[in-house]
Amino acid sequence: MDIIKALKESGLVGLGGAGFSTAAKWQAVKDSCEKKRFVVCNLSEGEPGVFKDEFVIQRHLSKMISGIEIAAEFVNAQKSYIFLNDKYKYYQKKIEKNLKGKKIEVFIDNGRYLCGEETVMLQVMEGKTRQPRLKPPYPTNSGLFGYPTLINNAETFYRVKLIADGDYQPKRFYSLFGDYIPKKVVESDLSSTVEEIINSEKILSKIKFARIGGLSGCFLPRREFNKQITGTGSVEIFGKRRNVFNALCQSIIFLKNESCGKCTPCREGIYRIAEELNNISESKSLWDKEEIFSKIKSIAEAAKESSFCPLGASVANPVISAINLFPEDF
Amino acid sequence: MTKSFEVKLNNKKITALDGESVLDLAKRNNFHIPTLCYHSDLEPNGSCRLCLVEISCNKGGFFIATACNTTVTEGMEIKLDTPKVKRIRKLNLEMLLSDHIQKCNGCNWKYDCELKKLAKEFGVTESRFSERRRKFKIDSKTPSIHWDSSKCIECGNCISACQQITGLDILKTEYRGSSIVFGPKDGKSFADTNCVFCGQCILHCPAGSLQEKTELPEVEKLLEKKNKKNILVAQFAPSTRYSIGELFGLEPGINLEKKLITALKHIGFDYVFDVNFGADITTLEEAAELIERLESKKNLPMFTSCCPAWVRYVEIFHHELIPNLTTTKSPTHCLACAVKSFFAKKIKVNPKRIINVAIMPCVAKKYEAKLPELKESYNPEINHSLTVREIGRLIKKHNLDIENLADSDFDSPLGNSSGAGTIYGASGGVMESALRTVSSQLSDGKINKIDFSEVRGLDGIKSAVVEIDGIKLEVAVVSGLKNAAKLIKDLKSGVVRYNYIEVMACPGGCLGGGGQPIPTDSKIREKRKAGFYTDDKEKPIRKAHENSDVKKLYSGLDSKPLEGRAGRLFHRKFTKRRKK
Repeated sequence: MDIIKALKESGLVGLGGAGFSTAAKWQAVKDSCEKKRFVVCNLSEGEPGVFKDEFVIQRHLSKMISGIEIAAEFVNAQKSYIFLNDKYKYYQKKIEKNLKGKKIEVFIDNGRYLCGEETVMLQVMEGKTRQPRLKPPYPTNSGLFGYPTLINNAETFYRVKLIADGDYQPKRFYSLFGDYIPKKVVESDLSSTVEEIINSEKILSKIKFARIGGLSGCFLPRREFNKQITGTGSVEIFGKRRNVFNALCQSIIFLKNESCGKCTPCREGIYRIAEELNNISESKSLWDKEEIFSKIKSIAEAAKESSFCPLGASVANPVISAINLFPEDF
Repeated sequence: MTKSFEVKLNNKKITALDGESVLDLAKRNNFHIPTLCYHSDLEPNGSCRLCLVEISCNKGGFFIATACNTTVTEGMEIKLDTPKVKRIRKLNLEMLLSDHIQKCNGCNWKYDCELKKLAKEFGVTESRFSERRRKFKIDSKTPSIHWDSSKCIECGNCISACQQITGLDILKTEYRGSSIVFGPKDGKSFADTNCVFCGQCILHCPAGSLQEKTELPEVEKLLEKKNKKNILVAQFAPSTRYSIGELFGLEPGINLEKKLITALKHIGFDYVFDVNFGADITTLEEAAELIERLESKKNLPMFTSCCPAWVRYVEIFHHELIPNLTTTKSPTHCLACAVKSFFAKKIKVNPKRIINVAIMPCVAKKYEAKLPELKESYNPEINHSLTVREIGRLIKKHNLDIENLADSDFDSPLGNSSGAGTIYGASGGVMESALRTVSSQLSDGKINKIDFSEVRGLDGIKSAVVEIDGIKLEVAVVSGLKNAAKLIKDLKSGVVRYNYIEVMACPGGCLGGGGQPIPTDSKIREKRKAGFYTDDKEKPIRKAHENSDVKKLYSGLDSKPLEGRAGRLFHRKFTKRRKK
């Protein structure tokens, strides 16, 4: 069967967050002139609010591995790797049991948040500094050790297997957690809205806002819950009594700790945002607050527009949305 | 020919070359894009995020990108200095400035600070943020490098320079995010690393976080002349005279030796001698050594040992090559010994009263001067070694306008030098000087070849075959330690074979040294190099062994090269150093 045709027809996009066309990625690796190629399954899942890839390991491991094999065969890869975050170390044995006789190896690293950026993951696998590389060249041309490398998210490989088997429906996994809801993974349509994912009037009535897309995602008030969920597909809900300021601080502290430190807007910017948030809680007058808001906003803009990698740019999401939507919470 | 196509820059149609960056395109067409971490010697890091432009590809929407590492593509439209770009880069600079603790006094960039210039250009008047790195680490344990991480703006140029030019892995990053520290591996001091002190990181640091360890306070104290007994002797290197002008706004490559002598005398030095003269001694000794080794066929290929960074590299990484190094001391130390022996006797003073201050384009020389091996003849031979930048600061402090000073000559008798000594500062110069003497001596004066142009130039590795009276001499000239490592690998695998190899740790030789004025890039190196060879051509004597002052020195010492007193004064030992 012609897998690339099937991929194109399904319209499958990467489910790690960036949403790049899977068929185009595969074709790019196949068309490259280098003989040696690699396939990497990204299971680093460093974003704390996302746990759908863990769900894939738990429930759909063999299908995911078949997906990797299909990819390896298609792009003619010498070797494939599963890049596993070490918080999922206890699945290593389970995964390796399924890898017997296959040219797939597990690579464990405390990848953390940064490895969500594929070039950082490659740097880590090559034993180099944990900093993103310049794109282009894209990994599809010059990836692991300079060879064309196909990098896809674990769930993407699972969906690939479904496509190959003809079982594919345009659905994806959503990570849902927060107040009133225990951690759970929901499989739903690609175009699902927040309301549809939560799917309970009782809970919805108690919610003030949600954070979409993990700690680097943006805040969404209850009134906009009819919006489609994009990115990593994570929904964290916050009850009526929760304060967006605290949630924002949680995001910023996380991003500040995870920044690699390569470029100015991300390294300095997040530090300064954290500093300014601290100032807000001490500020007395409204005038002070306005001043600080404008500073934070301009830093967020600089990070969004001039960061080296998308992770730096994502700083703007929580900051801008929180300030715009809930200024009274500060 | 490279492909070219049209792009739009600020609504003007211009021709772009395939593969060039937006920054190169703009520069070629006289558009200005402000840069900070960009250096033409290194691959762009893209970390400072100041060289921002707005780009649209094939009529798509405009987005912001860095000019230094974005390649021009067909159908691209570029806009410089849009309000958005201005706003963002101003904020980025403001954040960088608050990350950089300003310690302007004694900074390499004191008179020409890139950060301040940009602040003026962008209109950053004050920083709205607190200084956050005040308490960061300072490392001043080595004799050569002073590393102050509170001044660091985390651009990563030091790491790039160390990897791409020196080929060593001394510098790394530690920690992440805003607490990131660029410095020696694992938070060590430079003293605990294999650093060879070439100083290329210093030359490429835009913030003055890495600097030479200054010896100016000591020298200034000496210049006050509290101790009447001291006799202060200054000597400066071949390449110092061609680059010192850059610190005073002059073009690179202008020979300012006569003005510099006046300046040094004015500052308070009693005598000024020429390291070119020392270079002539080195040439004579080294040529004699090469001839001896060629005859006995022992310890070949012979490597030069003028470059202290290269010597340290061999002492740490290649113990097996130590016998292959020529034992001749570097020109500065040869001259220092001549001053403390021959000259001291002439003016009838105790050598202990003479204070030698060398002005060098090098930071490794500071380390060399403190080596116990080089304190055997006199303790010490060189009392203080200053970089070109340091002496520039000292001259400025005395409010001297070097361009308009009167001319003076070097003191006699250690002042006259040959053209061979002049070219020591350029890569290939040591080789050419030695070849001039060797070819003449081996053929008993029959061969009078002077120009060995095949060893000249700024290429990393150059090689040539020179035939002298039936003897085939295969030589190689290397500049940049990374290239040296490559050459050693080739030598060991037997791909190449040489008799005589010159190695300089810095690109282009001493003219691109770690103690040279900042900025230093390939264009400036080329201009400095031009200065050397023009002067060499104009010298009446162009071979070291024909220098009458050198002859006088040897008759004064009552010995010949390699023998007797000269053998003791002008030769050194090497130490095996442990790899850390």
